[in-house]
Amino acid sequence: MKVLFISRPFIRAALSLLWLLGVFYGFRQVQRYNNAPGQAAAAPLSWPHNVALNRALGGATLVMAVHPHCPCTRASLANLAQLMARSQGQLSAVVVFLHYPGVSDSWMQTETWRQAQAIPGVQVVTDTNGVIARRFGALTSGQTCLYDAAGRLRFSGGLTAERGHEGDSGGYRAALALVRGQTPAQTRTPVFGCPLFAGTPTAEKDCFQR
Amino acid sequence: MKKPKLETQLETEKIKRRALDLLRVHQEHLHCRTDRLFAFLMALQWLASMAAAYWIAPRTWEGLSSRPHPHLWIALFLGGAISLFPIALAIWSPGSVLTRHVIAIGQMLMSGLLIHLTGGRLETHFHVFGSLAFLAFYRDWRVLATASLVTGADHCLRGLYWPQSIYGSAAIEPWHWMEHVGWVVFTDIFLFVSIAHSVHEMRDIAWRQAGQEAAEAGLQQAHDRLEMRVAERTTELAESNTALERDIAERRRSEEALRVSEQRHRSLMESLPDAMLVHCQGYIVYANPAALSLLEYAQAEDLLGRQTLSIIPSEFHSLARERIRSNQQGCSNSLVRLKFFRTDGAAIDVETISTPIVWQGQPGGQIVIRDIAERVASEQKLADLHHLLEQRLDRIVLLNYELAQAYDGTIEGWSKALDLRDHETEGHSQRVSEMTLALAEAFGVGAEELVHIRRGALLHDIGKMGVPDHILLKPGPLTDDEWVLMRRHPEYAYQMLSQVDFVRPALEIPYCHHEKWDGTGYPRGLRGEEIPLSARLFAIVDVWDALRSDRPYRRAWPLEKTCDHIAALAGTHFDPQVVEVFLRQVAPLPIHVAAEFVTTARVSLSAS
Repeated sequence: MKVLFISRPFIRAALSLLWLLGVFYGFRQVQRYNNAPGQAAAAPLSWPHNVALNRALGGATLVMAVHPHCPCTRASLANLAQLMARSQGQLSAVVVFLHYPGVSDSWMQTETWRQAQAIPGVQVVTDTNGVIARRFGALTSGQTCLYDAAGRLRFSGGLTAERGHEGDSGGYRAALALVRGQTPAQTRTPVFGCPLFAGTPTAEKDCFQR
Repeated sequence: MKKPKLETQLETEKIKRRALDLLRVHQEHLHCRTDRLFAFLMALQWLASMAAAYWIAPRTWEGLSSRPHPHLWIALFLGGAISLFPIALAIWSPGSVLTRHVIAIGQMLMSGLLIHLTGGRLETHFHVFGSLAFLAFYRDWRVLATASLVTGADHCLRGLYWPQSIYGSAAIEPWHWMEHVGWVVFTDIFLFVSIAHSVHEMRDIAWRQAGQEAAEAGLQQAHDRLEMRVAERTTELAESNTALERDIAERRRSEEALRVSEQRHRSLMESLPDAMLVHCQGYIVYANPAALSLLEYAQAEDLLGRQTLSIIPSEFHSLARERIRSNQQGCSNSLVRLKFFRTDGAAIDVETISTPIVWQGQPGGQIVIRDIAERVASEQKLADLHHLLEQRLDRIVLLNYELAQAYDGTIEGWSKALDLRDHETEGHSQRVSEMTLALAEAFGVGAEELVHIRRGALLHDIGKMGVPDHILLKPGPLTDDEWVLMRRHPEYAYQMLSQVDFVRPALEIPYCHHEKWDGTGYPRGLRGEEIPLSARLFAIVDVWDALRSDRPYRRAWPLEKTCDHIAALAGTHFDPQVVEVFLRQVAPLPIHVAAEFVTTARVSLSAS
């Protein structure tokens, strides 16, 4: 059985054009989704006193809040690993994995957890009920705060340029510049990752990168 | 020389057209088949994209709550949007140019989607090369070009504006897309070459197949012609066989009919009362019991095998040979009398008739013999009687003739006696009788009547025997009374002759020769044709002879005067028709010529 729209060449060509436009529109929407950041953190300007973390003495300290199951955060960790490798010991990093109430330890032992633990110079801590993350104002997985040796906030944002895509980004370059004692071009960048807390307002709450 | 060349060109052109048709059909088949392949492949890779999205990032999280990752929906809906339309075209419009180009575009877009879903992993880029390889199945470089343009544009645009999507990282050089496009072009070169070779091979195959079909068609035509000839020959053979069987059946029927006929014929011959012999090649080959009995043979073997001529007397051999030869030539012989020898050597009279016959395949004759000995004896006796009768008849005729001569002699004697009584009319009766006969012959009167006319003429004045001599011989004129008596002589003649049978038929002239045409004559005053013809004839002759004869009181009248007188009396005294004939045919005749007529008449009368 021939379908009407298939049987006439002109209609087929017109439908093909519509189809192509529709597909382009779909890709455009995907692009918009991928470039939609999570909600930025309202990080404290100085190292909070009531937080159970030790700031590095004589050097910069980086704190990254991570949702254990956020797929996008693996790109952030990959960039962190790059950053750690290029900082040559001048940067201390703490990756805070949120531990939600009622979840088991095995729920925490994700690939992201193992990836973070594998980064040299990175301290992985469990943040029960997200107390630490809240202290640093983090709302999105991958939220990174960089404090200098004096405990002043020098950078706040994400290390990736896009959802789940590792590599060069504004946050990465800013952090690297700070580590090297340079003045970064940006001190705040968007964060691409899953919301750390339920009900967190965000334009897009998804990410990937296994 | 031109005609074969022209035929060759036509044949080549025909093969060329057929080859192009075959190539087109093959390509259409190939395109349809590849369309179906891609319909399956795109459906499969659509499912694979969803599987990959699920495997890479199955869920997205918000605190402790999670839901399916948006990439799953992207794979489902965008992947579906990319795949379903080409699949629909492949199913419902396979083989069309648009279908395969849409499939090429969709396949490349699917590559882009998969690359995006996998975060721009390098491995996923090989999907592009795999797709190009599959698209090469179409063996259409245009499809590859379309696919290459789409993927090139995708790499270029996304590489410039969204590099993470396609390369997985933003940290790439601006010309990085060119490297990918270069690899695509590199792949295309090989695929183009491969397609060109493949199309060339397809064309060669089409040419070979067209040539083979042409050869097979020629062979099939020859085979069909041969089959047709075989069928025709088979039909002819079948017809011949049928006709032969029919002939054989007919021959069997004929042979059976012949056998029955022969049996019936033999039975008939055996039971025939007539004798029958069959001769063949000059020998007697069959004799029925009647023949054996006729020829007095005790048994058939004594007669069979003998020469036919040996039982026939030698004086009939010539006739017998002729009849035997006639039979052998298929002719019948009419009835003929012969003689056959019996066993005792006696010749018997027979009557034979023979017809041709085929005896055991040889021409022969069948002779029917009838014994006619009794008939011959009867015929001989009859002939003897006939001879005797003829002799007696001759005697009777002679006697009759003699009697007639006697009568005539008597009559002539009476006539002469009358002439002698009247000297003036001596010889008158003889003359007038002869002239009357001549005139009667001129009128066509028959010979028998002539006899009576002659007798009547001779006895015309017999009645005068009753007239007294003093009146009859009176020298002077007669008185009225005497004339009355004289004019009664016809009645006297009637009275005298009517009593005699012999002369009764001759009575007309003596009784009526004085009647006149106008009715003024005597004795009865008859007129016209009431007067018997013989009397009308005689009346003229009587007057003519009286006028032409000398009398004691006058000389005979000249011929011309007599003729004039006679002519003058036509219509009053005489019958005008008789006068005319008399004057034209009888009067001018000399006497001796008339006498010849009389003699001839007399001779014929005597003969009858």
